[in-house]
Formats: sequence, structure tokens, C-alpha cells
Amino acid sequence: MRTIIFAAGLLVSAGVPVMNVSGMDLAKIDRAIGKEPAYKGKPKYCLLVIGPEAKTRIWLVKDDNNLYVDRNGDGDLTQSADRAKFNSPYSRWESGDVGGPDGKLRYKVSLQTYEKAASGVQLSIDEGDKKSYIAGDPDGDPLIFAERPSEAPIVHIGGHLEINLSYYVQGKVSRSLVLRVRVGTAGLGQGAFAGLVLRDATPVADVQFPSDKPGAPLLMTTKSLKNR
Amino acid sequence: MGVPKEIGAGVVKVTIRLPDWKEAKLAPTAFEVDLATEMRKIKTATPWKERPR
Repeated sequence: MRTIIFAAGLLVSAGVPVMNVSGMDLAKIDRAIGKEPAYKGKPKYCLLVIGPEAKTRIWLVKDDNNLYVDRNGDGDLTQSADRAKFNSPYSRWESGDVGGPDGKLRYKVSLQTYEKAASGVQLSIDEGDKKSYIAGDPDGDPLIFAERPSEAPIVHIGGHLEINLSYYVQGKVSRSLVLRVRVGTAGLGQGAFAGLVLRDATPVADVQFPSDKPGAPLLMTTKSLKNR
Repeated sequence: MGVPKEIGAGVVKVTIRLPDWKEAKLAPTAFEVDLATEMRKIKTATPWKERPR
């Protein structure tokens, strides 16, 4: 049986472009870390870049049960303030304030793991009370940290916005194809699309289906995507 | 969503709009999905959890 469900939310499509529409080539960003702490386990890396030109660069390193966040973006992860706190009730790591590109904006970064997503994670970035971004979707395409900084995924927030659509399969027996829509900025690597949480807007989908009758007009339907 | 029962094989065109979003103007974006092909891919795809890294 063919089923389609529409939901507005988060998903990362396969083949996210390396260069986003604004011409920001994320692959050219230098992915080297200045100073790293002594890790307990095998560290995994992700780079968060902020602003239209991605000038602010915040390294995130997941090591054993620790998350390091380079809060001031100086490339030095050895400062004690760079270790994020683990919030047990929510099973997530939460950073303190992270500096923005203008020196004024402040972000908070949290990272959550999901059993169903194996080593994949979901990254949340809050810009004060105004905006929230999410990268990584445990259902469809989680954010995967890399084993080396040079291969780290890059999550870009505050960059060129675009509409992204992709799908995933829901259910193990009665499978449904779930189409998901999000607005955000393309990143580099699996799960790196930074989706903006749309609080005051509802996407609308106009859908044209082919008819099963030869020569018949397309079947049109419109749906407000209210499910988040 | 309600999918018409009489849909045939072929490409489904989805156009996404954000009519009530004031913050930025994004042009409607259209996507085309060949449902039969995609469903076939899904049935034979390796779940991402099991993919080698």
C-alpha cells in the first residue's frame, strides 16, 4: 500500500550541496583545531559556523561522555568553560553562551543522542529566545560527527535560507513514505542541514498526482503542513 | 494527508510555499518525486543504522 504523510519539521536530504546558493563554499573552510584537551576516548568532531560568511567557527567535540564546545570560537578547547554540562533529565549536553559574529549575539548549543540513531546526534542551537535551529534528524538522517577534524561535518547557521524537502520511511511493517519540509541553511556532510524552527509560519504544499486514467488531468491537492 | 485513490504511476510534483512567513521571502520551491522509484529504493535500501561508517 502506498501512503504519503506530510509533516513540517526536520529532515536532511541525501546529496546536500556542498556549495549553498549564496556561494559560500563550506568545503574551503579550514578545519584545523588550535588546541585540544587530553581526551578519554576516541573524539569525534563537528564544526558549527555562524553568520552569512561563516566567520564565527565553533568546534564541537564529543569524547566519551563529554562534549567540548569552543564557546569563544578561538580554536582552543582546553578551557574548562568549554566542557558542556550533561542535563540528565533531558539526556543532553548543554553549553553555556556561545559568541556570535558581531560579539553581541549569544547562542546556546545542546546535543542529544538517540538510541535509534546509533552514533548519530541532533544538534540544537538557540539564538536567545528569537530563533532556534536544529541539525540532524534521528528519524531520517542524523548528524554524524567525524573521526578527524579535517572530515568534520559543518553546520552553518545564519546563512542563506532555502527550502529543503526530503523523505523517510515510517513503520516497519506498514511502511509509509513521509515527506518532510524544512527551511534552513545547507551544511557540509551528513545531517548538517541547519533547519530553522518555524514558530510563526505554516508551510503549504501544493501536490500534483498523476492520474491512473490515461490522458486525465493531474489530481491536485493542497495541504497545510501543521505537524511538527 | 489524503492521497487520491485514483493516482497512477509517475512523478508527483510537490510545491512548497510559506505564505504567512514574514521574516524572509522565499520563492515557492518545487520538487518532483517519482513515487514508484522511491518506494522501490526504500524497499531495497539498507537502513542507515546498518550502513558501514
